[in-house]
Amino acid sequence: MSERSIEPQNLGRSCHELLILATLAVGRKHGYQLGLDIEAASHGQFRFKHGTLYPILHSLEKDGLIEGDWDEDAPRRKRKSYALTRKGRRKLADDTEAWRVFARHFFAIVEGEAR
Amino acid sequence: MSRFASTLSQTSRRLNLPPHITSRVVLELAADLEDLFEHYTAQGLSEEEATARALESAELSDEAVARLVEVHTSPTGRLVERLEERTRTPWERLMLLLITVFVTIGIGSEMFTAGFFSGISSFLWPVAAAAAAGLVLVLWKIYGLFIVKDRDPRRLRSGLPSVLGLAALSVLLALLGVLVEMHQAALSVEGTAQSLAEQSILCVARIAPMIVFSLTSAIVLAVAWFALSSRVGRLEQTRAAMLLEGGSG
Repeated sequence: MSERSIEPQNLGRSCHELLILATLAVGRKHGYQLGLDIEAASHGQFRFKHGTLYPILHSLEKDGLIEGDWDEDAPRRKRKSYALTRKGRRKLADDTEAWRVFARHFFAIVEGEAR
Repeated sequence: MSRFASTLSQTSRRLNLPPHITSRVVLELAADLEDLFEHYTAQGLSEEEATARALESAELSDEAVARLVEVHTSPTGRLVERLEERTRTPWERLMLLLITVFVTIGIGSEMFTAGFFSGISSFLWPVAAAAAAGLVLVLWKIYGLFIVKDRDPRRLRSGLPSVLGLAALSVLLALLGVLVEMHQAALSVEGTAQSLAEQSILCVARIAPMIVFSLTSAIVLAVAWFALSSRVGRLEQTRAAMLLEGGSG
């Protein structure tokens, strides 16, 4: 049993955070690229409006889970990209386990009742 | 940033944040809008369609704006902002600095007269240690800002709240010292009015210099924190403005 648990009232937020952390685990990405990658990897299941990404990204950055940096040497425009920090990797591992436990219990109820 | 200029300035107005943070959010949004626009045009959409899709995708809802403001709002940040509003011109800043210098010199010269610290409470040492730690941190930040000319806002900002924290700690330690000294004085009273008067005077002699010292160092540290925070804020604003000018488009 994981020490962390998913609060049903925070499902949306926790889901968005985990998707972002998992996508950044692959490597540094720009904000717009993050949204598009999540959408592509989920075959359109998770469609992020980019406007909703900023508060989540900035909150994760403030908590030290991701690190934002300006690519000031970019040839055409300055862009901000994000990378996972060590603390973020730990959070990703913890939350992945918490979600696994949550999903197991969830389906135990849903599929059990359906039968 | 021509095609998204009105959206960006509208967003800038909606964000009730310090200018340097607003500039950074707007700059990030501007770059993402341009990237989304290019993404959609590469998919074969016309310029008008790509602009509309990019704007629709990157639109900041009222809830998103409120959350952004919440994420970037800190009590100390608001305090600096309010103080800066009251000291906008260089003259006002100079006046604030002069008042602080005169108060410090006035009290400082009194403190260094012979006998000021004689018989003082031993609580002065932890109070002085907290003040000294704050002073070292201030000097370290001054070194980074003016000698090394570090321009990384994140590095410059780190540790600044600790200056204020150490100022508060020195005052709290002094208050703790006052309570302990008063308690010890109360236990030493031998029941006569004369003894009570003597112990009261001795107690005041032990605690008063400590309070003066802790309050003076707290004022100096708080002013130094304010000056450094304002300076870093202005640097961030300038840097964000430079990024916006040389940024998207």
